[in-house]
Amino acid sequence: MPISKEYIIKRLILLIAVVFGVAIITFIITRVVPSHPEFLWAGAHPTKEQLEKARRELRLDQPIYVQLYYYLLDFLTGNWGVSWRTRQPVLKDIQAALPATLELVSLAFIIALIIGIPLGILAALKRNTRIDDLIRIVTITGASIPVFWLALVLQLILSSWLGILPSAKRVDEYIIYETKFKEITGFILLDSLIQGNLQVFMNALKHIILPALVISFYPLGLSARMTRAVMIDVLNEFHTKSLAAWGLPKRVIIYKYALKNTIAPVIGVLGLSFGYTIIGAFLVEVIFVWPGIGYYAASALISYDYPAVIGCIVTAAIIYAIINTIVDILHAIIDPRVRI
Amino acid sequence: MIKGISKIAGLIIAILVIVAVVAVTYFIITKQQLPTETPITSVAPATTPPEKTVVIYASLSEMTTADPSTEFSNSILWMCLVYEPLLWYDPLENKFIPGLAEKWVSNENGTVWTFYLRKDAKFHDGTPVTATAVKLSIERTIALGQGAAFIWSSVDRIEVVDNYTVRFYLKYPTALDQVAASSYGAWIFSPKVVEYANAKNLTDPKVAEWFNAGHDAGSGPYKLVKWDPENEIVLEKFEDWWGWKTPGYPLASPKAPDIFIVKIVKDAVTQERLVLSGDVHIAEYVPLEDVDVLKANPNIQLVIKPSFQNLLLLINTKKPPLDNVLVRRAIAHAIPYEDIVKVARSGIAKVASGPIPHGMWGHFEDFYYQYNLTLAKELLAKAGYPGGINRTLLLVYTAGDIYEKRTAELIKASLAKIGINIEIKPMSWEEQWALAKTGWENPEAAQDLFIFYWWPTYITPFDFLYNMFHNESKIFNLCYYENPEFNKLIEEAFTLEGINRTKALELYYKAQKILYEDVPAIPLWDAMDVRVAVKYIGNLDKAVNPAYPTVIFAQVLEVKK
Repeated sequence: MPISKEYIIKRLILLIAVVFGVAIITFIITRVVPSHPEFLWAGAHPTKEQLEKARRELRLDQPIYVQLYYYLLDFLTGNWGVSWRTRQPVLKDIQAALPATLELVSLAFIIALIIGIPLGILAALKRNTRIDDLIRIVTITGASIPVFWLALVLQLILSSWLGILPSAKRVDEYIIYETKFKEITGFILLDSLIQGNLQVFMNALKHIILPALVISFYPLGLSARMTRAVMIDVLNEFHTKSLAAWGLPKRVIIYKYALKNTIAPVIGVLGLSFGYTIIGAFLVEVIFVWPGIGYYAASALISYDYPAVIGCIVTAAIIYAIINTIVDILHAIIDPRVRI
Repeated sequence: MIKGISKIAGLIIAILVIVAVVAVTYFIITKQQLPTETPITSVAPATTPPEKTVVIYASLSEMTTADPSTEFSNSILWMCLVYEPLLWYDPLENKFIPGLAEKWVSNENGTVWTFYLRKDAKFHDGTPVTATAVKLSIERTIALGQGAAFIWSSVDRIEVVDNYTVRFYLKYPTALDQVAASSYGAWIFSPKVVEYANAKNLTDPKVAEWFNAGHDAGSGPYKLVKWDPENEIVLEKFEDWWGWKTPGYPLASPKAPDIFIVKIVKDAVTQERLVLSGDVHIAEYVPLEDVDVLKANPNIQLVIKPSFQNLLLLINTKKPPLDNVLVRRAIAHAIPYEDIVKVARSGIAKVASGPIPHGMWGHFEDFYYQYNLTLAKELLAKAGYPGGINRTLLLVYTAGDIYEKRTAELIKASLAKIGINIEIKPMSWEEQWALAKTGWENPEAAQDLFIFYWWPTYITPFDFLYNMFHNESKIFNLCYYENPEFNKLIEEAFTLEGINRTKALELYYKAQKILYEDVPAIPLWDAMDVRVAVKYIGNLDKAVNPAYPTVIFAQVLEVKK
């Protein structure tokens, strides 16, 4: 049963509108907030002439709508400007930072799904027992603990005291250098597998476990709670009850019918949470010296590097919008009631 | 019911399996890691004969640009290893170390300077370093007029005398040796960049683009091989560097690291943790409170050296009651300098004596203000404010800087004792600076007191005295101080720097004496820099030079392991 073309086209148009809206609003906000980026451009101890020149070069002497016009013109042609700190093209910086974050957050969400959904099912089936209470305590704690605290404590225990896992960085530099590792996609785990470089793969895996674990706590708690709640609802619904009345085995009811109805909303919520975590993981990235986009965005914000800031926000908006669209379309495929 | 239980059992088994898989993976990883556990060297595969040594240096800030003509910020940290100037300067010994120039002389007036280049220097592209390259490099820097280009403002023209002799004709006398040893804007690079960048000439923006894409054209001991300014940059030894082959050259060590990695770690606590775990070998910046604990750690070494960064309290000299010199003096005597250094900097600073920091030429020990509340009260009474000042003064500092914050709080507490009330306001540096700049037109609307850092572009007292106190310097003289006598003294001293250092010092002394009495600003403390490293990195002390802030001269390090 195919979903209508109009539905997908409508969603895609909306996606583009959202991205443009975000770009324009962010641009205006960054220009309206009092700041003096020419200082960043000219260096720490500039002369008066250099400051004036910097203002001209950054078009700060022109009205905001002219600036916006040039920005959008460049934006459309794939030129997102250069970072005011490093003069590197923002798009290039983001392309370099994004895979690091995607790799980390994806692993975190895989961990969250693998552990969270079974825990949620277990809690739903064992509703209001000790097991349910225990799971509730664990998942609510997981979802509400501040990540930076959790990160520091896990670092202290697992790397400083026990020495089991490395405390920071994405991979040890000397291994990269020694094994002549080349970046292809920017996803180190994937790249090392493609090149058959097991040494780098293992080293990178070892480095990613701790930060991924920290990030996974929130979606893990979220997915477990969601699964439990939805599963209980579904099991109480009339159609599920009638299945039981027809004498279907409980296993079949749970896995073939109830789970299918449960998974859709859980995936939906997790998908949105994924989009949010791409930038939101910056605290973890800072603590683990992870060269991701959250780290990049935070550094750019602190130093008023507006082209980089806008670039990051637009990227986040694009990812968010795409995930949202995919989730909605998936939802429509799984659940025909959405498909109107 | 029995079936339900078996489902749960299935789930538990599934979870156990996952845990088991994770555990097995972990064991495989640890097994894999064992042979490469040592962070510095490791067993190289049989095909590559010598072991490479790697040193990782954690930098607090991201790297900025990569154009040697215009870079005026953090990238100095690696440019000092990749590029060379004509001369290096050791400010603590007050002597020059030859760079690309072996010898240099000036005429009697200090208006013509001749530099004799060494003949064995090569750029990383293999072309020799010649007088033409020097001329073209500096001319490009001057022509672009960005960054620290103003250090060359006295240069009238540059002449290529022969292949290895270059002569500078100046418009007015300048200590060009000091300029040539500048930490910014004095790098020599291969003129072939025009070809590499496919540009029309050296000032073509394409050249800057080529540099900023992470290319280098220097002649220094290291080559730039990876350029990721937000995260890490990698430098690799340049085997053909003349310094490795010049016996007795002070800026080279036979055991210098083969690979030098600059890792951006923007948090002091993380830097400390990484150097303790050996994940980085040298940390630029750790929390100062932890310095004593680190000193006691047998695996860690510390180098504490003067930096030429100082903190001053700039006073709005045009706004009553601060336009009264007696009030300013009263404030100067009511600040607990020793306590500030102890509390705000954990003792890692020196109480300032004048605006020129300790260890730099032009610094004198005669300009301490005594902390004396009785004297301060007397001065305030003499100024006509026996009961204190009836207006709350506004003190601004840069938000997020804990040293400024603690300093501000101590000043506030102490001034309250002589009847001066202060409101402390943290602002972003840009807001703070924009507010302060309005003070030249409207001093009433600007702040009263401003906590302010300064550090020199190149090592001359003029840099401090001109920028903060000369009335032509409208963007950094934020005391709004105007004194023609002072201006004349420092201008004359500056022209004498290159020819008659003694006379120049005498004039700089007089100028600082005027500031001491007029109190347009109160120098608070001169910062010390702390570098923390693992024990097996030798010569760390030699690798730190306050004239080149944040730089670790990797070529002098000795990797012992």
